[in-house]
Amino acid sequence: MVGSECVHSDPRSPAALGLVRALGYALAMRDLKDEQLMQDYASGSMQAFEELYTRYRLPLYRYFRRQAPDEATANDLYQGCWEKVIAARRRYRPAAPFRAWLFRIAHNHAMDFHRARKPGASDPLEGVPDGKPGPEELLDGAAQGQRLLAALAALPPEQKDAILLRFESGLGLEDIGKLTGVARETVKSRLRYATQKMKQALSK
Amino acid sequence: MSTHDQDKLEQELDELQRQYRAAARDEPPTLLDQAVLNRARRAAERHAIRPWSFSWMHATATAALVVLGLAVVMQVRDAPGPPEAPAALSKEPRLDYQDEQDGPDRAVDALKAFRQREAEALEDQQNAQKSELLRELREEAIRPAAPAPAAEPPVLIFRPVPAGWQRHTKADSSIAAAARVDEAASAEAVGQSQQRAAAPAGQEADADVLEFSGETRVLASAEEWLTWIIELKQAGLERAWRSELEAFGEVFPDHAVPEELLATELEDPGPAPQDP
Repeated sequence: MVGSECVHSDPRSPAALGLVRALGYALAMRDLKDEQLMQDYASGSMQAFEELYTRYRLPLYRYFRRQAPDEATANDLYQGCWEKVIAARRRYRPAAPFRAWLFRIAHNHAMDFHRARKPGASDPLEGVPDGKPGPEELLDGAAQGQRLLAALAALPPEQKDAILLRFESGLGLEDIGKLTGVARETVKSRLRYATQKMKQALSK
Repeated sequence: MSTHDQDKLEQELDELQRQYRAAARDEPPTLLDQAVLNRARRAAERHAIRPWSFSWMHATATAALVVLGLAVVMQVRDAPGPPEAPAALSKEPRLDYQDEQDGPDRAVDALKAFRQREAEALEDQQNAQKSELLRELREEAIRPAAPAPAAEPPVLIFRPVPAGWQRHTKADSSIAAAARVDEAASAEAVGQSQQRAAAPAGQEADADVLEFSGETRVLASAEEWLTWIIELKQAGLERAWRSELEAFGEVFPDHAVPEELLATELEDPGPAPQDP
């Protein structure tokens, strides 16, 4: 499921038959909702988890990559978040959307990481990540994106967390407020300030 | 914030999101993907080894076993014990500590009273058997001559065994002798050892109250009864064999009695010989 590897084998061999069956199962998985997949994984279905992982690996990784000061830390946060999801698979109840449940775990995991850091250490939420644009990059189209990432990295932690949740999870204001434990208007205010700062950074 | 402002914010966020998605193309390393998937697979395999249904059944079976065990334990605890035998004839009176404190005389009196009650009970039983036998014999005598049966059915005669019979029959045994010594010692402890330890068996049988061992001798005929009386006489149980002979005369008045019993029957039993 992860990564598209080209398999050259005899279509009549058992391995090929297994591959065909797995592909058919994966196609069937595509139509299932996240909540059903998570329940299937809690019942022991590894294919259900692979489908879920395929759906959420990029948003979740980007969320942590923007929160962490470096790639190694982002990798650790990303892996730790999935381990929490795996450990909590039997406690999951489909009453809540899987997306909100997953990003609640991610948000709490990131907050735990920032709280555990030493007080004197530099705040990664206010730093600039590795993708800082160089002078030549500012000349082409990618420069705009790099400036946006730099502006995002420079946001205050609460604003950055709110706008990352909005970008990566696709949740509404209400759900982000529940997820982060603040009111809907607070979320809206944070997003408005974050938007203004990023627009200012892009217009320079 | 008004709806117009909110819509404007949403439009700005969508535009920024589009630019963000275009710029942020980070992907987790393949090794990281494999690590996460392996972790998830191990967890799923553990779950497959012990599925939910199995754990549920296991817990239910365990709970049922515990409840069943508790029920059995409680039932056994609440069940009544075996019925106790009547204490009047089966047990000797308990000489508790209070009796011993009051003195050995009181304990001896209690023991005598118990044995007397036991003897009376046996005597009643014996009398009832006697009268039953007499009634049957009289009916037999009154009945007109009938063709004699081919074989006379045996008449069972139940006779109580006097106390000391076993002791006398095993007088030569060293174990019996040791037992007699032990009994004498215990009797001494309650205050009457001087008389009982020194007295021979015959004198013991001549006491005011004829003592019985609690056993019953089953005799199949008058001849066996006479043999039993002779054995009692040879054992030196004077009062016992005389009482038996008297009872025999009442039951079988016309039956011949051996000479050795007739010769001594007329004699006065007299005092029993005393040990030196």
